[in-house]
Amino acid sequence: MSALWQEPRSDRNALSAEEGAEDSALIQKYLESRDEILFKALVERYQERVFRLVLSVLGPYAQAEAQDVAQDVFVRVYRQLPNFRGECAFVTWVYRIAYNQALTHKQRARARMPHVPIDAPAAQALFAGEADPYVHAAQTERRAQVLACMERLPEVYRTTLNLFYWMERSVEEISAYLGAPAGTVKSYLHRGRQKLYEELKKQGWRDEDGLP
Amino acid sequence: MKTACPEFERRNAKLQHGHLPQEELSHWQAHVSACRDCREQLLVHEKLQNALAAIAVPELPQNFSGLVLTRLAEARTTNAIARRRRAWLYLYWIAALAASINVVGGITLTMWNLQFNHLAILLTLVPLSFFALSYAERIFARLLRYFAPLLR
Repeated sequence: MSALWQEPRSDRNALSAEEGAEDSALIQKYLESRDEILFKALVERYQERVFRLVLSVLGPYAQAEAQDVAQDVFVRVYRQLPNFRGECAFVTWVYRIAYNQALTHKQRARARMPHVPIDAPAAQALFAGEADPYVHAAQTERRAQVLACMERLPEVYRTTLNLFYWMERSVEEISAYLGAPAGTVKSYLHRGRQKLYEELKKQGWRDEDGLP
Repeated sequence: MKTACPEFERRNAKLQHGHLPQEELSHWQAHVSACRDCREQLLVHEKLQNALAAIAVPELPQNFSGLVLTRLAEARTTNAIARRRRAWLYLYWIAALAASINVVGGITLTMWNLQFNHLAILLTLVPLSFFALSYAERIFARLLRYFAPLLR
């Protein structure tokens, strides 16, 4: 149960009215001058957040592709910026583009390579650092099984779980990323864990294996 | 269908922000031992923390915004080349059409002068027009492919 006790999550990436006003001013200036330095400033404001969202959709085994997809997101933002009507916050619009772009990429990758084996070498590369090789091997296998089960979850649950547990984003931040109310995000988390529990059970896991 | 217990999400949000008082902690532990849904949620929660928190989140390269600008410059160049190619595409279709009209017209006039039957002229011209246009298009496409590097 001790795992539940975490440090408070920072809300450094939460949306604020001030941030929205700064974005609007920056976009206005950029559209008037078409100065690439201004667009670069916009990219620098959102690159981390977009990258994290893209990574959460693509998953831990697609770290190399995530950077390319994040670049594609900003190319798309650049092209569509003159059509941005400001009906929603700029950040919401950028997140929507990033989420859709990452989903499209994932679907295409699946079509090209329908099954990505989550094998031991790939998992070893992800989980490094255990001193005892036997403990490390056993833990790596268990963790790889959890990730493999996550791959079978519906897209939105997997993304939410990745954002919450891997990226350590708060419910409010995830709500901004996905453009869904906080209650819906909580429901995604709950159902995601429920479905993952069922998947783990199918893999032969027992409650006694992991109950605190 | 299994009912979802709201207790886990409620406590989890509190725990994230470190607001769970000691007296609530014992109540929570008692609840977990009695509530099957919360027990399952807690089990998966720990598995996820163990699996995902162990994976380092990769960092973006320092010059990421510079890479985006480079990608944009490349995209602009590619678009310009594509536009120029489209312009040439129209041109070679026009050239192919002109060449095929020339050939078909020449043959028609010759047949007319030699006083061929009208039906025979028509039956010859329909497939001839198609083949003339197709061949002319291929010839001009090859020429374009050959000269395209010189036109950049």
